[in-house]
Amino acid sequence: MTTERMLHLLTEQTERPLTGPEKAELDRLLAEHPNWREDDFELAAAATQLAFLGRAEEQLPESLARAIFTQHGADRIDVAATTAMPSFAETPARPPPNVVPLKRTSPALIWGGWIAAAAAILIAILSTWLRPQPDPAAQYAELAKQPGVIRAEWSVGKGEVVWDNAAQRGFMRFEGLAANDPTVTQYQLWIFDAQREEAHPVDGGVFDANGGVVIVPIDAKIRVFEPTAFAVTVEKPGGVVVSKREKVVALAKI
Amino acid sequence: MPGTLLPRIAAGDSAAVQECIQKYGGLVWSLALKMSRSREDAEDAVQEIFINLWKSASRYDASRATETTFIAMVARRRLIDRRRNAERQKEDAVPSVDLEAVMSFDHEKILSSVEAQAAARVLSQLPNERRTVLRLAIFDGLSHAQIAEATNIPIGTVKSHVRRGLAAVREKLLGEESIEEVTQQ
Repeated sequence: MTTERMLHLLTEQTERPLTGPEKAELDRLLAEHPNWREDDFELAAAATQLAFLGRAEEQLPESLARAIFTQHGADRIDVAATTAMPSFAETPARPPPNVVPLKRTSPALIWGGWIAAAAAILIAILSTWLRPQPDPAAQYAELAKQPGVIRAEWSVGKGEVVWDNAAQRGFMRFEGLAANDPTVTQYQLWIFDAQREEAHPVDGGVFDANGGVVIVPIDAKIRVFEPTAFAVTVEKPGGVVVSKREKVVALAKI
Repeated sequence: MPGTLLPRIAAGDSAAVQECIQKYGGLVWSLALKMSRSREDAEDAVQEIFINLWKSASRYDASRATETTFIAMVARRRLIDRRRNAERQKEDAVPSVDLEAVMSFDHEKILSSVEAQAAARVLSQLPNERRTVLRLAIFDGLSHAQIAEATNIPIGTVKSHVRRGLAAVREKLLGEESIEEVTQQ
């Protein structure tokens, strides 16, 4: 009977995410069947899918490949060391502290080479700064008034986080968060999700602070299902894919 | 394991990131196009899949699966999550299914991993109905309820087909019970 139930849950997992109680039940059943692993059916499903797919004929579009590469952050090079770009002299001053986090996508350019990646970064930054920006403070105030939004004060640090899970948008407000030199470090938000592994929270975007009051839009990279906590760490410029959590400067539990 | 990229990505190797996108981008894109409602949706999905992949890179275990199959698994999980979330917001009409097209299976075609080859051998020996249900569930991404409605197969039978089919593939991959023992249950 327990084997049938285990197989049922493993099968369901290939069709939909399991609920919390189902996951806990599956963990207990797997503990009784040491020759089974949690992802056995998912691997079988992946192999089956590849069998039906055959040779993948589609080519990933270049613009999409570049956006993925840029989003990873592997293309964030020391631009000062790159001398071939005359537009460096025209790079505008750093934007004010309540800056909109880095965009997820960049304009399409020819793929290939570090020079092309640096040009893409500069164009993305310029297009973000030149485009008229909505006022985060006004948007934050408006969102905070909406029914059903999550509001949580920082237990470490001063201020609060406001998050609308249905709309997948929110803002952070900080008071007195130490000013950072963005060429040395940046702050990065992490959103802990009950339906994701604790070791891999959702990246909420990087931002800077000026020591005073700052309001920052949250830029969740992927969908947040069931937020349980928000945390801010100090990271290298541009942020990281996985934080070592060595410097946590703000924490808000829901 | 030589030639694998995920351990290098987990170690922070930027060149490995670029190589991974070049090597597996087509595969992930093909899977996303298959299981997404639109090209735009597939573009969003691909970006999310690679984000999940960077985060999962340290969990790749070469003793359990090839990199291709692991990446396909990460992609499937994300695509299923997205599909279920979209369905929660909008009731989907049951897609029409061309059963004749679905039933055909070319097990001689070029496959992308040893696990896919093993799965293909299993699929080629399954009864038509079970293979059809597996294709609709695993490759076309239909829910079990949608498959039941589209094929007039009772949902309990649909779930049984998926369970037994995946168990047969798993056993082939692990080299455990023979296919005949499982499919005759």
